This record gives sequence, structure tokens and C-alpha cells, in this order.
Amino acid sequence: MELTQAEAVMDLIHARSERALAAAQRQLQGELGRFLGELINATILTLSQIEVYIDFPEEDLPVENRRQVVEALENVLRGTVRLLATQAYGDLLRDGVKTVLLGAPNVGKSSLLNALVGTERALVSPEPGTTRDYIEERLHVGPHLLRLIDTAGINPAPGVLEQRGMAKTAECLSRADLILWVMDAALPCPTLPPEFAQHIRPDKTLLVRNKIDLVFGQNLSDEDLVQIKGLDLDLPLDVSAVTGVGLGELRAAVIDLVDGLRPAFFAEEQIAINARHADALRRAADALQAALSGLTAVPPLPIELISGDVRAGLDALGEIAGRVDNERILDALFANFCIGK
Amino acid sequence: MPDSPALPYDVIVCGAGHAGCEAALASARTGARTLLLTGNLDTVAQMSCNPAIGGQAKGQMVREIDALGGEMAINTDLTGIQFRLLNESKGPAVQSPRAQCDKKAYQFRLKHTLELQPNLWLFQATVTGLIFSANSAGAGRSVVGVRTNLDLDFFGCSVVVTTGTFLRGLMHIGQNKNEGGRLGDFSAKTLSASFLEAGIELQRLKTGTPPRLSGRSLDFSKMEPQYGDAAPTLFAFHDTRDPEPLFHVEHPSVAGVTLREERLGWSPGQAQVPCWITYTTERTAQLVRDNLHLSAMYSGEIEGTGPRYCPSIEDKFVRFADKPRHMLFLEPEGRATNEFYINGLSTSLPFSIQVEMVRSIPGLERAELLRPAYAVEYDFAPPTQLFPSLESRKVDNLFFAGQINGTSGYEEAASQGLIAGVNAARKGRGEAPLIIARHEGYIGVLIDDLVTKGTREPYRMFTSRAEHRLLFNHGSAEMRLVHHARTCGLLSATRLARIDAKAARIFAEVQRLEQTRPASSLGLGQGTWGDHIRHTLARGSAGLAPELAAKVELPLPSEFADLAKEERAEVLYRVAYAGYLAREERHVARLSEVEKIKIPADFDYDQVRGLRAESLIKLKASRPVSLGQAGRISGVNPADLSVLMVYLETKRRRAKDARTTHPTPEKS
Ligand SMILES: Cc1cc2nc3c(=O)[nH]c(=O)nc-3n(C[C@H](O)[C@H](O)[C@H](O)COP(=O)(O)OP(=O)(O)OC[C@H]3O[C@@H](n4cnc5c(N)ncnc54)[C@H](O)[C@@H]3O)c2cc1C
Ligand SMILES: Nc1nc2c(ncn2[C@@H]2O[C@H](COP(=O)(O)OP(=O)(O)OP(=O)(O)O)[C@@H](O)[C@H]2O)c(=O)[nH]1
Ligand SMILES: [Mg+2]
Repeated sequence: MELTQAEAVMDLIHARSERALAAAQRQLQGELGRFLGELINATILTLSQIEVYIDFPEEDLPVENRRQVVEALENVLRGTVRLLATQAYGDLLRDGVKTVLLGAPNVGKSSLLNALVGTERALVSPEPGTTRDYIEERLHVGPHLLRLIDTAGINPAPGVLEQRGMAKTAECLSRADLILWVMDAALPCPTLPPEFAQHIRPDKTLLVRNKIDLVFGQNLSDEDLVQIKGLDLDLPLDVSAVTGVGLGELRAAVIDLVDGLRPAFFAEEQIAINARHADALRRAADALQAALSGLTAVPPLPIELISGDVRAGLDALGEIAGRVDNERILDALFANFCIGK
Repeated sequence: MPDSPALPYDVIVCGAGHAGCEAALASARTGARTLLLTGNLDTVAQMSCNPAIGGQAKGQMVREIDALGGEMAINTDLTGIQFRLLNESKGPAVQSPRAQCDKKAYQFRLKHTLELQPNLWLFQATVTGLIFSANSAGAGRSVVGVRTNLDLDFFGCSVVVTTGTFLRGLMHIGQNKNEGGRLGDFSAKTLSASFLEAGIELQRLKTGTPPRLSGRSLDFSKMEPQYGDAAPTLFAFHDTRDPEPLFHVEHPSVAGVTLREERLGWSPGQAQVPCWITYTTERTAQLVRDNLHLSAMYSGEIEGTGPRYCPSIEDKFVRFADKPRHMLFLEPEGRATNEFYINGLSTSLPFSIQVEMVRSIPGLERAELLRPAYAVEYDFAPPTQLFPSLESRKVDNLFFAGQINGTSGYEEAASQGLIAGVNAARKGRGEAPLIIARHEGYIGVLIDDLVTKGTREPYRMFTSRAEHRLLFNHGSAEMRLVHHARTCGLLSATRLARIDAKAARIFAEVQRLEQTRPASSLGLGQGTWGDHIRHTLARGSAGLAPELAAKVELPLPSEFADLAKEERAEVLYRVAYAGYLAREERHVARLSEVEKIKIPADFDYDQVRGLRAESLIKLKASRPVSLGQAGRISGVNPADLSVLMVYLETKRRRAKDARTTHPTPEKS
């Protein structure tokens, strides 16, 4: 530990009110603590299964089962990664869900932003290419905070200025939590260039068919259907930024989708880890990953190196839940193996 | 005994077991006038339990003892009758040398060494109590001498207590009880009172030993032999290219006769003898189950806690009931005896059951028992009452080493003895104590664990106790500890120079391999020699045997080939594990920053805001000497450590500022 690190921890301890501190403590005693405790116990047990073959080479032990070790470590790694995912969710709660309006020029992205926010925030015009730089607006949708971002339209044959805008859009897309992909109901939906298409994932994308007022009752063209199915997306929501038709359904769909971003697996009590926890968990995950690579390499890495990685993982987990004493590894070892003469 | 008992010694050591012998030799070798008192001169350095030295982690410790100038390694080499390197299929860091010894030869050679040691006097007497005086600060007490059963008092500046299992030792064989620290030995019954009087807390521990069998009654054809290694790994460091006799020990000549070690009858590693492997049977298990109520341990006769790694056979059958049989080793006790130690059959069942049990084992059907198995209970002084120098926190100038500190094992005892002996001598001279850090070797881990965490069972070393064991390969002990060896002054200048030269050769060769490339005519392709070595080993089988050289199928340059065998092994280890060792070194560097932050002895923890109540209690109770040690106390978590660190650092800076703004007048 270095002083800067120590000071950061101190800040956390002192800056928070007594109540916040108590809350943090409760969390460590609560579900987060329990979950970490399970990860730590599983790691200790695994480490004891490795160590017993190092420290007791003369014993009449069962044949070493590396598969079991690999499986156990994979489990711990999975748990660690799941816990880490809660940080993203924590950030989501604090900073808002980054939502990107995407689509061809003139499909009505800016109009949709205005309609959702309820003010004339973005410039709207019948000219394609109106929005060049992106515009961000915060709004609440049900229980969620959204950071809604209007982007420059995607033009298959862009001019120089547009090109720059589109590059920004692609960049923005890569960090989006949620994508509202807008199409013009009256026009065929242009194919998305691959640098955009690669970010389209069904769990974070809603397809919005705007200007439905112009084509009421008309179905999607077969070409559009093919593209949508190809990206594995649900059918579009029909809305009109001008008349307000379908905006309620759009809001409901957004709420559903954001709910789904919460790690389903901590349903009971919310676990949202902080940045210090995340840092430790990330190091734990890296170390466990290294151990697994070492175990599965051909030939495998010498076992004392693998043990070193597992130990590093355990130490990192211990930074959150309290340091794990070496003695606990020996406890597990003597409890599970008949050792000694 | 040199002069009148009234003349004070620099150091008095009580008990010539493994701890006491090292303590006395170390103290005397630093030049301190040392007296070694022991209850019986015929049991000097006796192995109470099995006739073996070394093994996992312990083998590395013995090499560390040698690196610092102790006696255990060379004594083992000269009296060993079988040598094996354990874990040969794993990496060098976890390989450990182990030897079976001739029990009597081991004792005799060590006693002889004590007799020849200048500055050391041996005397047979049982210490019955300590003599205290108020210490200089007037705040506590110091030890100034010892009383003995012969009504002779001895005075010294420091006293080292190494009484092993003898403090109120009580032996159990079923319901039979005998007082004594070891079968056939006495029990030190009054010394405990002295400790209690000085406010030193005592607790009980327990350990056990198996029966000894007569070789003529054993049928070895029913057992599997276990032989020693053809090329034995010895414990003492020596240069295998050295033309000098292998073990030239600088004993002074006595009455014109220079003692040559070769006279002992065999040279190390020659004419090795096998051990024998057999197993318990269903009948053994049945006997244990049927008679459990008669076992001293299971009937509640014994209150002390025993070691989990040396379970009795009762424990094994009860706790692992589904394991059908347990492995047993028959170990010869020496060349000039037909006595066998049966490793794995420790018990406190009554003697008649022991006989039946032994005879239920293949090869032992007609076994004659020479000595019964027994358990022994004894007092130990919880080692959290010690400073890392092994000096008592409660009584000045009083040092503790060995089993009395709650450890078990000859190697653990010898390691502590060496450190306590050196520090007792240094204390008398007003010098800073020798403290091996946790990242420098197993001896450091051992003592830090003891004084920081204490122990609930007889403490034994395991490699997994050492966070930095990758750095603790047995071959590197000499180089790892040479800076300490230089300060503690047990090694001759010649030996120190030899270590420096060896380290330099190894360092240079590692550099060369990392920086030079094989000639293109060799057709090895791109990369340095180091890259090729790592590549070759990564393709080979996982373990890097000590004879790494043989496994590396590379035409390594002649400079490498010219090194001594043990140097080649070290060079290859450092090259093959370079990345991992560097990572470990970085880790150590980060940690030692925390070790450097000292906590004053009179530090007021109540001043520190933000410590959790649990930590506050723990810290106040154990009074760590550094922030690093504080972090290893169980229950003190990383956040508490942060709080403490920031507090200490702020205080230090404030003190520094105060010094610079208000310079204090120079002392005249
Ligand atoms: C029955 C038994 C079973 C054991 N089993 C194991 C085992 O399974 N595994 C293992 O690793 N270790 C075992 N040990 C422990 C091992 O023998 C010790 O750890 C080791 O010998 C301790 O060394 P020491 O120097 O501290 O004490 P000891 O070797 O016990 O030596 C103490 C010395 O002090 C002398 N002495 C004692 N009191 C006085 C006094 N008041 N005045 C003067 N001299 C005194 C004694 O005569 C003796 O020479 C066992 C020990 C015993 C007795
Ligand atoms: N009828 C109808 N017209 C709409 C609707 N939404 C937008 N429009 C019109 O479509 C035109 C383009 O709207 P914008 O919101 O500027 O479109 P955009 O997608 O932001 O365009 P760029 O910024 O150029 O990429 C404007 O004339 C809007 O009035 C809708 O739901 N119905
Ligand atoms: Mg726009």
C-alpha cells in the first residue's frame, strides 16, 4: 500500500457521513459481504487443494485433480466478473444511462429528442444534415435517469464535414448503454455501415420507426424486415415525434430495457460496488485469469507459479472483505486431507 | 565451567537441544563468553522424535541456518545416512532437501563441536529458576542469572531459555502417566514458576511420538524400500569445484591433534541406507476404533492442543474414517543400531493395544517394541510476548527459542536458537538485533508469524506460509542472507568472500545470458540466450529439476558450463523464472515500504481517529513494531492500516516541520 492509496481510503472513510459509513459497513455485512465471503472460501479451498501437493509430497494423497481446480477457479472468476458488473450498474444509477439516437439524416432524431424532453432543445429542419455535433440532454424515464444524445445522421455518401460528425457518432455509439435506432417510416431503412452495425446488440438497442403519422397502417418493407432480423432485433416501435403517437410505448420499452441492464442476479438487495472495490476486483479477476491460463497451458505452468496467481487473486478479494490469513489455507488443507505422520 | 560461577558470563543458554546448541554456538562465535547449561550432557542435540532433518520448507530453513553460520546443516551432512530431494518434479522454489540421520552420531558430533568451540563452556545442571533484578528504567525487571539444582547460581548479561518440551512435561501412554520432557528424561518443574512470577503467561501444548521397533523382528520382504538419491543434495553450502576436502571445519587443534571430520567414518552421501514403506490394515483401524476410549487423547486425559500435521493414528482413523489405510515409513535410527522409528504411528493408546496394532501391519507381524509410543504435554510461553529479536517484552535480557515458543521441529528450534543466540550476545554489547525480514527467508517468516500472530497448535513451517516463497529456493539461501551474515559475524572472512564471488559469478552469467544471442551458425533463430532457455523450458515438462542444465537441450555457452553445478542451477532458475521473480521483487519492494514505517513502543493508539474498535484492542494488545507487522495481526484490516499510516505519516511530517522551523540547539 502506498500513502496516496492510504489517503484515498481515508478520504472515503472521513468524507462520508457517519450514516454513509454505516451503510457501507452494512453492505459489507450484507449481500456483498456474503457473496465475497463465498468467493473467498472457494478460493481458499482451491488453494489448499493446490498447496497440499506442494507441501506434502511424501503423503499418500488422492491423485491430483487439476480439472476440479480449474472448474472451481472458473466459478470464482465468474463471480468476480459478475460483481464487477455491478459497478457499471452503480455508475448507471449515478451518472445516467447513456442513450444514443442513431439513424439516417432527416429521420427525425432531433425531433424525437425534443418530444421526449418536452422542450425545443435541438434544432429541427427539413434539410438533411442539420445536426453536426451531438447534443446531450438529461431526462427521467420512469425510475431511470437517461443521458439522451442526439447525433449527426448517418449518410452513406458523406461530405467532409459530415464525415467528421459520423466519426464522432461511431465513437459515441461504442460507449452507449442504450441505442435508439430511428428510421423514417416513409422511406426504406438504409443499411448500416459496419462501423456502426458492430455496436448494435439486441440487449441494448430499440428500433424506432418515426413519422408513423405519414404512413399510418403501412407495414415494414421486406428488405427492412430482412435487415432487422439479420441484426436479431425486435420489430420497431411505431412513433411520431410530431403527433406524439407511440411515445408512451417507447418510454415503457426504455424502462424495460434499462431494468434488464441491472445484474439480474442480485435481485434481493442491490449491490453496487464502489471504485476502490472495482479496482481490487479487477486485479482479482486478472490474477485468476492468469492462474487459469497457466493451468490450461500445454504443458501447464509449474504449480507454484499458479499458486502465486491464485494467492494474488485471494489477496485482492481480501482487500475488500478483510485480509485473508495464510492460516486459513492450512485450516482448509487439514480439514480436507489426511496429512501427517 | 571456566572460572568461579560468580563471574558473570555474557550469555547463558539453558538447555542443549536443537535451539540451545545453535544459540550457544552463535553467541560464542560472535565472541561472547557463553555458558551452556543442560540437564544431561548425554542428550545434547537429541532428536526426540524421528531421526530426520529437513523436508518441505524445513530443508530450506536448514540451508538458511548454514548461510548464517549455524551448525545444523553441516552436522546433518556429516551424520546423514540417507539424502533425498523432495518435490524434484516441481519448480526449484519448492524443492527441499531431506536427510535421515544417525541419531547418536548427530548428537556426538554436535556435542564435540560445542566442546571445541572457543568462548563456550558446557556444564551439566538443571536450571530451576531465574534471578531477576529491577531493570535500569525501574519500570520492569531484567534477568541477571539462573539458579540450578546443584545449588550453584550463574550470572550473565543475557539468558536464553531453550528448554523444549521439558517445562512441567507430562507423558501419557493410555492411562499411564509419567513426568518428563521425553521418555527417560526429567521434567523441569520449578522453572515455570519463575516465568509466572515475572508475568510471563504460559499455556499447554501436546505432541506425540510413535513406538520404536527392533530391526531383527521385522520382515522387510513385505515392505517397499525407499532409497536415497544417487547424487545427494547436501545442506551445507560448499563449492563442488573446490579441491579442498569437502568438509574442512576449522576446529582448533587440541593437544597438538587436529581433528579431521573424515575420521567420523564415512563421507557425506556415501553408503546410504533405505527406509521402508508399509500400510495399516483394516485390523489396525478396528483396534483403534474399539479402544478409542482408552486413548489418553480421546478420554480427555490431555488438555494441551496437538499439531494437526502430526495427527495420532487415532485422529487419522476418526477424522478420515473413509480412508481405508494409512502409509507408514520405517526409518533406521542409525548405522550402529538396529532400532527403527515407525513414522505415521504416533499414538497415546495403552501399550498392550500398541503391540497389537503394530502387529496388524504387514512386515511387522512379529515386531518387538523397544520403546512405546507416547504423548507429551508441556508448558509453552505464547510467543506474542516476544519482540522480533526473540527477547521477552516482559523481562529485559531474557530470550526464548525453540519449542518453548510453541513451535515443533528441530529446524524451527535451531533457527530460533541461532537468532536468539546472536541477539543475546548483541544485546550485551549494545548492538541492534538481527532480524530477518519476512521476504528474506523462512526464518523471517517463522519469527514474524510467532511474535505477531502466536500459535494455537505446535507451529511448524510450511512453504505456503511464505508469501514470497519463489524467492526462497534452497540454493539461494547464502546469497539472500549474506548481508545479515556479514553483520552477525558468524562466518569467516574467507567464507564471506567466497559467497560474494559466487554471487558475482551468478549475477554476471545471468546478465550475459539475458544480453547475448547465440551465434547464427547455431541456427537457433532470434532472441537472447535467456529467451531460448525460457522457450525451451516452456515447451518441456512443467517441473524444472535442480539439474535444470540437463533439461535445457541447448548448446549453452562455455562460460556457463564452466560454473559449478549449484551455480548453474541458480543461474538457470533466475533466467527461467525471470518474469516471476521480478514480479515478486517488485511486490517485496512495495511491502518493505510499509515495514520501514516504525511504530514507537509508547505509541498512543487512542489518539488515532477512525480505527475500528476491534482493531484498536488488537493493536494495543500486540504493540507491533512497524506498520507492516500491524497489517499481519488478524482482525486489523486494510482500512485500519490506511488510517494508521496516514496518522503516522502526518505526525512524522509535523515533527519534521517543527525541526526545520525551530532548530534545536546542538547538544554540547
Ligand atoms: C514426544 C515428542 C514428540 C515429538 N514429535 C515431533 C514431531 O512429530 N514432529 C516434529 O517436528 N517435532 C516433534 N517433536 C519436537 C522436536 O523434538 C522439538 O521441536 C525439538 O526437539 C525442539 O527443540 P528444542 O531445542 O526447543 O528443545 P528440546 O529438543 O526438547 O531440547 C531441550 C533441551 O533442554 C534441556 N533442558 C530442559 N529443561 C532444562 C532445564 N530446566 N535446565 C537445563 N536443561 C534443560 C533438555 O535436557 C534438552 O536437552 C517431538 C518432541 C517430543 C518430545
Ligand atoms: N410528419 C412528421 N414529420 C416529422 C416527424 N419527425 C420529424 N419530422 C420532420 O422531419 C424533418 C427532419 O427532422 P429532424 O428532427 O431535423 O431530423 P434529424 O434526424 O435530426 O435530421 P439530421 O439532424 O439532419 O440528421 C423535419 O422537417 C421534421 O419536422 C414526424 O414524426 N412526423
Ligand atoms: Mg438533427
